[in-house]
Amino acid sequence: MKRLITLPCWFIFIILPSLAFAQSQERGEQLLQQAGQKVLPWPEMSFVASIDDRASTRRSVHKYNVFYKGDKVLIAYVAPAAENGNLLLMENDDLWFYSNDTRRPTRITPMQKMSGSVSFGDITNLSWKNYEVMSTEEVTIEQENVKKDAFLLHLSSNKKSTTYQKVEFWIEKYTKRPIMAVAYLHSGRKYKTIRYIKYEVVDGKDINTELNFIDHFNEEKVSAVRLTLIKQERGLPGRYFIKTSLAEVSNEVCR
Amino acid sequence: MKYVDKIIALLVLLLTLEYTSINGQQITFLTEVDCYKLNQSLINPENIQLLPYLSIYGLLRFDHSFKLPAGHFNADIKWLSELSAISDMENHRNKARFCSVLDPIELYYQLSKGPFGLLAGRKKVKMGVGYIVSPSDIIIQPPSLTDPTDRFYNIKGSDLLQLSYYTKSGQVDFYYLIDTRQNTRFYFRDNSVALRYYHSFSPFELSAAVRWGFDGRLQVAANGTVAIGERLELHTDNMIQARNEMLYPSPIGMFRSKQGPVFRLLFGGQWSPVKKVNIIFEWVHLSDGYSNREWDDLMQMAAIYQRLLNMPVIGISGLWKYVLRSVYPYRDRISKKNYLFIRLFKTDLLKKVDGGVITYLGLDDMASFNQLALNYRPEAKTSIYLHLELVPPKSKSSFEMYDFSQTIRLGIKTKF
Repeated sequence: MKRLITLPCWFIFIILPSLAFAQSQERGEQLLQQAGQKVLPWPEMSFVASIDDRASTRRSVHKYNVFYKGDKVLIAYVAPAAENGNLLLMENDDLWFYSNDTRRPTRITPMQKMSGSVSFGDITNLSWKNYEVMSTEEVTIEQENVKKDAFLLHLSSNKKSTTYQKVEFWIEKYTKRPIMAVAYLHSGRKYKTIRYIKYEVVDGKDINTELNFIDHFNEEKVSAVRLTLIKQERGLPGRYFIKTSLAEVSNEVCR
Repeated sequence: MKYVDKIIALLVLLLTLEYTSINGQQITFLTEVDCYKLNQSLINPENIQLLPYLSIYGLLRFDHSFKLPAGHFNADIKWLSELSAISDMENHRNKARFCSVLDPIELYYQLSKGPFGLLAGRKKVKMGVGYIVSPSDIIIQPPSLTDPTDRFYNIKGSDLLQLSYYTKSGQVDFYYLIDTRQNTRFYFRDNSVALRYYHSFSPFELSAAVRWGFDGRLQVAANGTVAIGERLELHTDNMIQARNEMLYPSPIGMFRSKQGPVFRLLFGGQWSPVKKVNIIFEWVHLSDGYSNREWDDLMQMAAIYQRLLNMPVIGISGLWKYVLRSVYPYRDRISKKNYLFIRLFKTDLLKKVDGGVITYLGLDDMASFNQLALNYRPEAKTSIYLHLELVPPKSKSSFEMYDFSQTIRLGIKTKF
């Protein structure tokens, strides 16, 4: 008799919540993947990123050529001229900064600033693919006085190369477009808010083309990132993603 | 033949300025004022080497890359001018000296097709992973130990032909280096060939290289790095050389050579304990360096020769000064065996100001070279820097040969 009562209890209190959690996590991962497709739709692609540092006393615009090939990312500094020729290479968990001045690459961390409120890791990890979904909830978010149904994903870093420890990520319920992300440091402090401003259709894909980064550690400084000339690549040279070949690659990609 | 590279550099400079389809370009302008306190070293008594107490430098550097119908051509050329005030103690007067040099740092053509690459010309080939000095850099000229940032772009490329094959996570390079003045400034004296293999498998990267001179000289090198978490990187950089070409002093007053291979070892790391702070530490061992006893013998030998050659006998009076002036350019090659390099660097020490301290410590005699550097960045393209350098006096140390005991340096660097 006792056994007959214990079995349903196990089912109700242990098995069912576990199944629900697993299902929710699976759904969350699927949502994250769908949202990632709105930023990086192809495994091999390139685009031009322009970072407009609006809050500084003197407005500055930085321009980069960005190349993605699987897990590897190469960022080529195009403008201003003082930074032309510099490169940033992300290979798995390693991040290298190649200085055109000294002709040598040095290891850096993803937290180091690229321009204004944008860190290196913000551009190398646009799709949040190195994060794990801890929980998902359905919410309503107000954006430009319009209420939208959305999913709120609570993300946690699963790789050491990630820039932030925890991220709250809002995805529009019907289009699966990313709306906003709030990033937290290991200390739990709120560091940045990222707003996904504009979407365009490129080669039949609905892609995010403008983001705003708000730095809460730096007087709420805003940097606008515009992505242009987005295209799918086929056969990007392997040497673009090898640390020792950066000196030769620099002249080719920083134009 | 002496000025061929300079003429080529000038032609390329003019062509580059005229060229309409420049792929990438950068112009650097640097001006600097240095005040020195002379080190009254054994090699420079009464300032016979005519070292300055004040120097003003002006540097203009053009770094251009332009696309050709097939491949790219890259030109990195500098023009450095120096105006110095010198105290001529021998003749009890001050004098001024002006010198100017136009130098091609890099001049090369490159072509890539699929996984293959071809490069011909003068190119900096950096293989090593050390910050201050990399024993495995067997192609590029070594940096000045006291100027790791190479602010005057004194490190020039080597004249070579390079063939590369790129793999998924590494590359193999073959080099042919012809017998030019630039390629034979150090160990090698003849045409040479080299091979390098590099492989990366996170968090490790490994590299091995060999260079063989047609006259039998050989260097074999290997280096590797590993990242431990986000804050620590460790590296090692080593080289073995077939012949020891250093001459060693002996108690009987003669120089002698040593048989056997030479090892140069480096172990070090980079640590970022907190945000915006970076610490580099490196231990360097040079097996061909002088021991403390050999250094003492050298000093003793120099003192004896100084007394002999300064004797007012017709024919040899002043010969000592001639000897010292002849050996002066080779002073950098004389060192002891063990050194420790430490650099502590902090970005945003103050608003827009970065600061760093460098200590280069001789572990055999505990003498040191120290530098405090402050760098102010009023805007992205300009930096103003202040360096204070100090070599504390210590007798019988390898830093005794260093030109200046104190230096104050103020400079401005702008890039367009």
